Amino acid sequence: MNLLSESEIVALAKRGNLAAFEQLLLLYEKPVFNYLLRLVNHWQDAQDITQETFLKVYKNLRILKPDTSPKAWIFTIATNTAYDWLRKKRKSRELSLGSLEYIETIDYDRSYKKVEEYQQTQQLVKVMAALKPRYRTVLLLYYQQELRYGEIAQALSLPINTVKTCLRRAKQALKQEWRHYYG
Amino acid sequence: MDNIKQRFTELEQYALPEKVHARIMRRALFIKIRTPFAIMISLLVVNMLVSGWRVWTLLSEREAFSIAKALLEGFEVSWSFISDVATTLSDILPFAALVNFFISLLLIMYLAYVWRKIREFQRSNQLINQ
Repeated sequence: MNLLSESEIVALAKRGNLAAFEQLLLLYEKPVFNYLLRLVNHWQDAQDITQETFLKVYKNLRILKPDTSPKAWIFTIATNTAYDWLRKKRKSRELSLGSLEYIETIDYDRSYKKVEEYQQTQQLVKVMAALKPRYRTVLLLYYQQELRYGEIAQALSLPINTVKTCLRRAKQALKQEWRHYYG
Repeated sequence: MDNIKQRFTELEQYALPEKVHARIMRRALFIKIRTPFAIMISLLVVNMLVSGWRVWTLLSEREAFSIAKALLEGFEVSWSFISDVATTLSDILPFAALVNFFISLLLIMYLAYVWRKIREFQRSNQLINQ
């Protein structure tokens, strides 16, 4: 199974092959989980949204067109599921931009450099949490998941030029927030 | 905030917990078997209803209920009475249709039990992880 290409795995999974679906899951579970973790800033919710995302992927695999990038398609589902979650949270007034529950505590034996790296990472997480969800999405898809403009456009159902504009604004907003927090 | 890309690549990458992976696979399996399971139960229900209706029709045609009433009225503890009842039952009861009916009924009950167990398993997994 590992010798199969991604398109072959997708073709098998579309026919209802569970082993192929598991291969697809193994291929994308980590990037999707990390993307959602940074998008929603909540460890448990990121797990639940990842689960919902892959169940939607499994249910809807049949409608995936051959010319569509599976990666972009899976990230579309992940983004939409996360947005639904954010909407629900907003309604129930549980959304707290500072609720970075997944941040681990720093071990005493971490070296100074590691602690410094860790702090820098957490600074980015904090600044990202202050951005609009759309900006966070575009930045994560572009920088963290390394999706191309075309794939981001496909994932967000937007024209490529809108994606470019959105990314530019997102970068500006990120820099602005960074200055606001850390000078 | 000079190198945005570098900052993003430095973000720690976490593996999806194994329990979540297992949960996704279990639920996918459940989705996969759900439709064939529903079709199987539906076919068995149809089979049970048809064979039940067939049993009822045959029993009515053979006037089984009035014969059973007459047998009960003449009830006595003797070998000849028992022999009469056995002969009459073998004449009036449609055994093939009855066997079909009860097998369908037992299979439906068993599948309903299995389905309930699967649902409970699914729910307990959801609760554990909440």
